[in-house]
Amino acid sequence: MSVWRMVFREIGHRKLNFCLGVLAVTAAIACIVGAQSLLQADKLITREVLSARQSEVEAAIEAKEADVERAGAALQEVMRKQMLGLGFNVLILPEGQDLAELHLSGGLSATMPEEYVTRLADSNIVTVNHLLPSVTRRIHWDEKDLDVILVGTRGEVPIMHRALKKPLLDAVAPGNMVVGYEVHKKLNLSEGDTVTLRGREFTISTRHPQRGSEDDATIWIDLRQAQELLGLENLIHAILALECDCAGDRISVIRQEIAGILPGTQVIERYSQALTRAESRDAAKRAADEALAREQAAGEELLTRETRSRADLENRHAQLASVLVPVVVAACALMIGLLSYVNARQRREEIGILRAIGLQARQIMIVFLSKAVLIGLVGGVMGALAGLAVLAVVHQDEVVTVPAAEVVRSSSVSTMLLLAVALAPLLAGLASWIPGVLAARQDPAVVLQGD
Amino acid sequence: MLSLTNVSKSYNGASGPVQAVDNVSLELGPGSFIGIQGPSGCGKSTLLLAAGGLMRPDSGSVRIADEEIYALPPDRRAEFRGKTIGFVFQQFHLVPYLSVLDNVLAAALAVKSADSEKVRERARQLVDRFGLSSRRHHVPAALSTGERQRTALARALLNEPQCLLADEPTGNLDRENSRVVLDALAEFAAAGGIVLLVTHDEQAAQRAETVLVMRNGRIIRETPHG
Ligand SMILES: Nc1ncnc2c1ncn2[C@@H]1O[C@H](COP(=O)(O)OP(=O)(O)OP(=O)(O)O)[C@@H](O)[C@H]1O
Ligand SMILES: [Mg+2]
Repeated sequence: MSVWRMVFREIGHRKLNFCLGVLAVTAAIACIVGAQSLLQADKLITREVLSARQSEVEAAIEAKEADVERAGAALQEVMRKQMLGLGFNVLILPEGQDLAELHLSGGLSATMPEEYVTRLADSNIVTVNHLLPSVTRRIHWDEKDLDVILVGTRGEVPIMHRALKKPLLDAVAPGNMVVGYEVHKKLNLSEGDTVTLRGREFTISTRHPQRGSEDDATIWIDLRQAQELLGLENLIHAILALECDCAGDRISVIRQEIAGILPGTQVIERYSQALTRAESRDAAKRAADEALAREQAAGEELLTRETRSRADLENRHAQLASVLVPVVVAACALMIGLLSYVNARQRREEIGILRAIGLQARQIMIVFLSKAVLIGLVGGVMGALAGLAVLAVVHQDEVVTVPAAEVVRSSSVSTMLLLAVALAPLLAGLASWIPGVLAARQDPAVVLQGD
Repeated sequence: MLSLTNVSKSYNGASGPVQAVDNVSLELGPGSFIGIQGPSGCGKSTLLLAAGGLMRPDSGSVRIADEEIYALPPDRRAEFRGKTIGFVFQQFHLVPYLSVLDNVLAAALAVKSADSEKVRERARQLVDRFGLSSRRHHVPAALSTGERQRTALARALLNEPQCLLADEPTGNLDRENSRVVLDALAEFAAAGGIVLLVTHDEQAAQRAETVLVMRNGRIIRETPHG
């Protein structure tokens, strides 16, 4: 005979008392564990929902961005090709240049220092792109007996404060010659042919297709060689520039800017239909950019709204739990206390005789508390399981489900589970303490005297 | 040796104090079998409980085996009770959910030094001796009244006490069962134990070597039997 045997026999004898006790502990622990794991599941679901939304939004934005980029790239390529076809559309000339001369003969006579292009390139100019210094003169090509426009160019001068752009026109290497359509057609020139111009030899490096402009009657050679040929060392006639496609400004703005950097020059604009097209492209690009911005704003708005609604839900759950859990736990503790008390009353006689035959108050207490601890242990385990079952049932119809295992693995829930299983016996013991003490202190004579 | 010296005990009844035991002195040596008789309410049970260390008297002293039992701290007194005194009551007071054998063995819980194998052996012997072998796994509810009292008797004897205190042990029993119980008490006394038997029953009182008659808490007469 041991105390434990007595405990088990008594439980078997008064099953209802034990079952009700277990039920009370189960309810309390299920409530604690259930609440905790629901709150934890809320958190996990929130994380899941938000990250799903986040990646949805990100994917949408990314798609839009790719669209915009594709559109932009296509636009730029189209622009570049178009500009290339149209040539440069801003011409910077010395102030004294008579424009009629240009229009009538395609040639220029007024000069400015070559160093001007460097000055322009080193400035913070934004209205123009692609600077190309040149000398231009209508000449008679004696060797071929042909009137041509001779253009000396050294290639584009990179603008210092901008990222390097793909040049619209490549430099012509010294000794090479690029020829316009009419020229190579008339003279029947092929690439690689050698020609002589005013006593100097040039190799045909490129033949341009028909452009329908004075370019067709033009030959291009290296700037320095052209300067020597024309006796214009360190002087240039013009700086060709391309109006920046990103700024929707007018020639007056360009003039103003260039006048500030290069006093004593004039600026004229050519091919202004290019600008019109550029502007419409600009508008398209702006629209795409705006659509992207709207998409981003909408995505952020959606995320914010979702975050707020999840937080609201979590708060409501937490509030409910913060009220419900203590109430249920207190009610269950009271219930266990009452059941213990009832049990102690039922056991008055047996406790009286056990005391009479020599059991110490401490032993009676052990018998009593052992039972309470057992109730706590069984109820704790059952409550923990029930709490997790609640999780499975309640979260079944959520849009996003979180595997219960993940919830259990999360530290707050597994700690709660351990605590529940460890604390339940302690709490049941505490709730039974006072009835236990009363039972142990009971005077055995009172029950025995009836005889 | 069980000795009571000037033991008095009064209760606070509804209509003033009730003097249940009034200045009683007794001395019981080894082998004595004392019966106590008297009308209902004369203080027999109170005297028995006081002698058994279960009810502290208002005054006077109770000594068992040279131990002033009410001077012992409660836990020591409980253990002393378990080792030294066996109780038998009219109502049996068995633990309802324990089998016959376990009820007998419950007495061993009070004695820490008990050798469990020896104690189990002795419990089986007692169960056999009182004719309960075939009932040893039954709970009290499944027993006849006689079997219940025999179980209580076995429990009282388990720790080989020096005294047996019995309060109306035959009050609920038939002749045959009464005889078994009284035989056991007599045998215990014959073996050197001290028996204090409270009874109304003339037949039971006959078995005691001396009968003390109580009235109003006092021993008014002492009748020795042969
Ligand atoms: N707890 C109590 N409170 C008040 N009075 C009590 C209490 N217990 C006993 N008494 C009174 O003390 C007196 C002695 O009681 P006791 O039980 O010792 O009598 P008894 O001789 O055993 O009677 P019976 O033969 O009926 O068992 C009685 O008058 C009883 O009413
Ligand atoms: Mg009585």
